[in-house]
Amino acid sequence: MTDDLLTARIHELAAGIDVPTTTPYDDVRRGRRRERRRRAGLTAGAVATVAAAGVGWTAVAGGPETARPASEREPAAASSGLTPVTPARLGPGDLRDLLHVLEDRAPKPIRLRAIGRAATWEATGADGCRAGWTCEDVQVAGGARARFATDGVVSELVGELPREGVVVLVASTATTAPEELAFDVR
Amino acid sequence: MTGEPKAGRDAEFTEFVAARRVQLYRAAYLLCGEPHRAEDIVQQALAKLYTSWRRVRRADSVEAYARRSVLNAFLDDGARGWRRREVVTAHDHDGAAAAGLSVEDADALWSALRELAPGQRRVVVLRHYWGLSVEETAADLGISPGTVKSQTAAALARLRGVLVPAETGGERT
Repeated sequence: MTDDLLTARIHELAAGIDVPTTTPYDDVRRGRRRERRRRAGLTAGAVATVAAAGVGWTAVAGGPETARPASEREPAAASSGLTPVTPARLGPGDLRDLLHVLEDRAPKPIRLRAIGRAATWEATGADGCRAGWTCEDVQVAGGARARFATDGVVSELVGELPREGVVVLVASTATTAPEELAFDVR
Repeated sequence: MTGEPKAGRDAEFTEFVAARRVQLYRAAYLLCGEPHRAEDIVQQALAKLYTSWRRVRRADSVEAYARRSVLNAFLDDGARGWRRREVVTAHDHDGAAAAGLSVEDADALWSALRELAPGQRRVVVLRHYWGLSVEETAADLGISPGTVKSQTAAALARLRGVLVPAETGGERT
């Protein structure tokens, strides 16, 4: 009863809020401006920062193998790009467990998964959080630390694993590579 | 990069804004309690939605993305530590009377909302204005369903004093 009453009262309260007069075109204009700024920023900085951290998207077709055993991988400093991956290709172990943590929290349905590595935790920018994203620390079995973020479509999980090093996992409800990630890769 | 014409995106976005902007603004206002800040939050959220329109639309998640963008813009705004103080005047809520609440009842409810803990207020807005389930609210806020339930119960307990049915009005303490 109180529950329903609160819903009714909140709706009555909301209905009484005066709404400023704007036109949808004002929002289109602001969106275009943001897009121009973002494109300019991406052109100027994204390539350099991604290269520095070793975290970036590679082409879906013909991407390098992403789930080799740790013993066969390059050292973390010479990390691979962020490449599409499937749970099956990861095989059992800490990486798949980490992917499950991401999948449990990410919005569904998940249509794209990707993995990348960074030389250090700091290089992923995971201590920060890009505007418009929700970021939080999460518990990961066997992981020294992990941090999750989502903007409702794209989700990102950075984990520092004893044997795997610093891993960046991304899941998306879209099928195309994200235009931005939560953490300020540097 | 994509074959979708810009005009098509603009038309779809415009249609969405025309249909949903009022709801987004009112939700932002319920969250922050300030008209100018609510407008900033909505502008920021819609600008982000515009730039992400194609992939969000492909994922059939426009509504959820817009809602979460409003919520995130509100949280980011608060996290930056500016304009935290909620300034409310009676004039801000004059419209409430026209919507079925007396000015006194509207003022009492606004006061009660302001006194809620931030987490409780967010849960109230998501569950009772947007009509989300416990699980959807938990996903939007990045908290557990149990936390949503406990925050809802705590909020209801605190708001009970102003939730007097109309026919028993006047008995409120």
